[in-house]
Amino acid sequence: MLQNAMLRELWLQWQRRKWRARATHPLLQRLLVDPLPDGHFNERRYVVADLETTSLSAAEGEIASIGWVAVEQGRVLLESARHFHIAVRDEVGQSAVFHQLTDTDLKQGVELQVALGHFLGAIRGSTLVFHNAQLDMAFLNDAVQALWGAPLLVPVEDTMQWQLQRLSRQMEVIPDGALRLFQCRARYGLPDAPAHDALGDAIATAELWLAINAE
Amino acid sequence: MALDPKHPEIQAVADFLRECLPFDALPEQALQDTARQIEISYHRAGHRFSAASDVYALRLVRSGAVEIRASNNRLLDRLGEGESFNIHGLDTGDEGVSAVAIEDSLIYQLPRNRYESLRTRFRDFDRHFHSQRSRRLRRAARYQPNANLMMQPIDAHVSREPLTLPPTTPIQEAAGAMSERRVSSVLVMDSGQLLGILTDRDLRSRALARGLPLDMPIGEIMTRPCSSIELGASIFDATLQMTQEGIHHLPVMDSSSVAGIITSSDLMLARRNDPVYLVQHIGRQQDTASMRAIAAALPSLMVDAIGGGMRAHQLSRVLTAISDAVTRRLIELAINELGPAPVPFCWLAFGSQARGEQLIGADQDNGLLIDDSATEQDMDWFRRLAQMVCDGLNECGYVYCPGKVMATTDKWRQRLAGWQRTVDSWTRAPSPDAVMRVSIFFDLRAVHGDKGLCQRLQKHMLARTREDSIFQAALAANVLEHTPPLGIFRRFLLERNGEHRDEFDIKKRGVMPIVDLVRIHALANGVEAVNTRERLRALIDCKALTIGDGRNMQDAFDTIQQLRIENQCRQVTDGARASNYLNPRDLPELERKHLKDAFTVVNDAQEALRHRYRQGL
Repeated sequence: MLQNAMLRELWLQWQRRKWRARATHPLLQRLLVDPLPDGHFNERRYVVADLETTSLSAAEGEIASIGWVAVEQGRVLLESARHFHIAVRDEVGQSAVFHQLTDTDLKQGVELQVALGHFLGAIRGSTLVFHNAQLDMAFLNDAVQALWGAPLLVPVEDTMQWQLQRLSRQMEVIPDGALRLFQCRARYGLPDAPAHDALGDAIATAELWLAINAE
Repeated sequence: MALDPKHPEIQAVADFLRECLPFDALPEQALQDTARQIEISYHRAGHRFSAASDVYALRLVRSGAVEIRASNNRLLDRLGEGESFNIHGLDTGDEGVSAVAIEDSLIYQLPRNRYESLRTRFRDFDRHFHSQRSRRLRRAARYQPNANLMMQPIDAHVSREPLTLPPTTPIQEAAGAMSERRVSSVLVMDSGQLLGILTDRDLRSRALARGLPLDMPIGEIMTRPCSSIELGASIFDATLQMTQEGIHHLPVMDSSSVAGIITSSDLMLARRNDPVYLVQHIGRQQDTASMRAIAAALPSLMVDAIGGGMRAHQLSRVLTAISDAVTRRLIELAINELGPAPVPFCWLAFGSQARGEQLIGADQDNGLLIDDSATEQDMDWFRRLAQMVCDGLNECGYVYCPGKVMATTDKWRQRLAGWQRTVDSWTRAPSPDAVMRVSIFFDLRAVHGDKGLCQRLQKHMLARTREDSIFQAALAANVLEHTPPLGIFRRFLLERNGEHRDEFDIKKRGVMPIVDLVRIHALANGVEAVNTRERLRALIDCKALTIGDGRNMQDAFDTIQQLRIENQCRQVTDGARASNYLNPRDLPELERKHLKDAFTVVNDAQEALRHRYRQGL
């Protein structure tokens, strides 16, 4: 586990050096040059984010909205919360039905580069946190690379992976749905929440991240 | 859906706030703005929120639970989802008010400036916290512990406007002024300077007894120089100084000027909640009404004492001493009315009063043991005594015994020979029903009168019970009918989120099984003590119980009594009547575990007893 973390960091350092020169956006360049954050949970800054997408595959879908919130000194700062709806070109796919978005909502949104520009500014010096990072990071890396020449090579934590490890220690077979955000929250006694949007899920994930780190 | 990405609506948080008092009263825009100001934290059970250097004014429990406790660890409030607290608002003067998470808790925190601005802008919002705060303060203030009563400053008890006169005042004029002001002393002062003090005693011994002329100036007979005490001194200091110097009045100085005067009766009044003082004080009451007033204050005395760290067995001793004092005083008052007793007698206490294990709300269990020389006419005197004392006790809150175990019942008011015959009949042919009714009799103690009579009765009783294994078996059968409710704990775990109907009578199911068990062992082994702890000690000494079993029983007994008393304190603090009903859900996890352990000990001891008396059962 510790070794994995070290390997991941080495790989990340190496990738950053490789892509540094190709980044065209000044904020992205800076992210790839800044030293990697370290220290204990309470000393670090995290940005917890969630995306809504028009498909479950980054190759086929687009980002429909993004919400994020910062965690500093072990506290979720709602003042830092941001929520962007993005104008998509495609018709709304299946995923949007889950997320209760309509075509009207989506067409009222901002350009993707505006939203991601704000995002790059917000995550400086931070570790990103997602619930299921793989999916969201695939969309973000594709989008950032397409826009500004380099992927988003920053440290990432995944609350779902933490839960997976914890559950695999306890049970042989992990039941369907056991890793869903609100199932994971329930395991820490965190409250259920009504139907969600990207920002709501980002905050819910941030609370889960606090609970995981309190263990 | 609002589309200002930099000031997003935080739907989940706003929805939650809308359901919490007093946020529900905020206009929509203020509510959304407030949601954006919140900082969320997560705390494991046991986390203590400190008041020191705190930037958060208000904390809202999103999930989990928080306890608010006073500096002496007394519980002030328990908060759950949707309830808020402000440590600083609670912390007026009492530095130690603390909040502790008792479950893993998600807390929404509102920074101080935001909270203050909401309170300034919205009156309903402000009013909510204002009244909440004063409610908690009232609760906290009502139960200030008096543990360090003697260390309190005299400040609050000083008479601030003492009678002062110049030294040239004639004796008669001074006496007149003292009568008019109804005081027993005067400070003799000249242009702001304290010269001396003149008391009733000085007037009597230095003026009247010597036949001095009434127009002589008081400067001639005052006590000078007189001693004094500083305003910041404690009640203890003042009491000590008066005792050492043999005086009853002390001028109180605030640096160099006179601040007032304090007298020995002021000091007595200051100590009126001290249990020792209370016992003395009861002995001076002239009627039932004034004793009833004292007895009415017992619930808050209990809360104070437990809050001040007194243990259950100490408190029950104090409460028993108080009911003994009330009983004695009622007997004395009755004798004043009826004339002296015609023959020697002894007033007996039974049950918890006899064992010295009384708590709040006990009913009366008593009897009269009369010398064999009493005639029928004498017996009528005792009938009237019993009536007056039992009526008085009932008025003072020690209600009539539902089972009629009272001196007013003929069977419980007999000559010694009569009592002995009764004991013989109980032990000779014990029916389970009879055993249940009389088991209380075997805990008896002399409260007033001729203790020798009581000792003779107890000897007779022990001689009968010690050799009678059939009677012991009948007692055992009775004891084993009440088992501790161990099943509750298993069910409790299952029903954590459901409804709870697990309230049980902790006296009947927890205390009495131990008392009954210990009594059987005591009777079987001729132990004279009646107090459960003393009986256990004696049983260990005579090797009737192993040290381990004896100590386990004592720990179980102490634990259950302590939880019972703390439960009663909670009820009194919540404005309810003290009862013996306890819901395990109201107990913190650790105490629940202790209770379960204690019940397990009782259960094991009952099993052992069942085994021992198997033949007789």
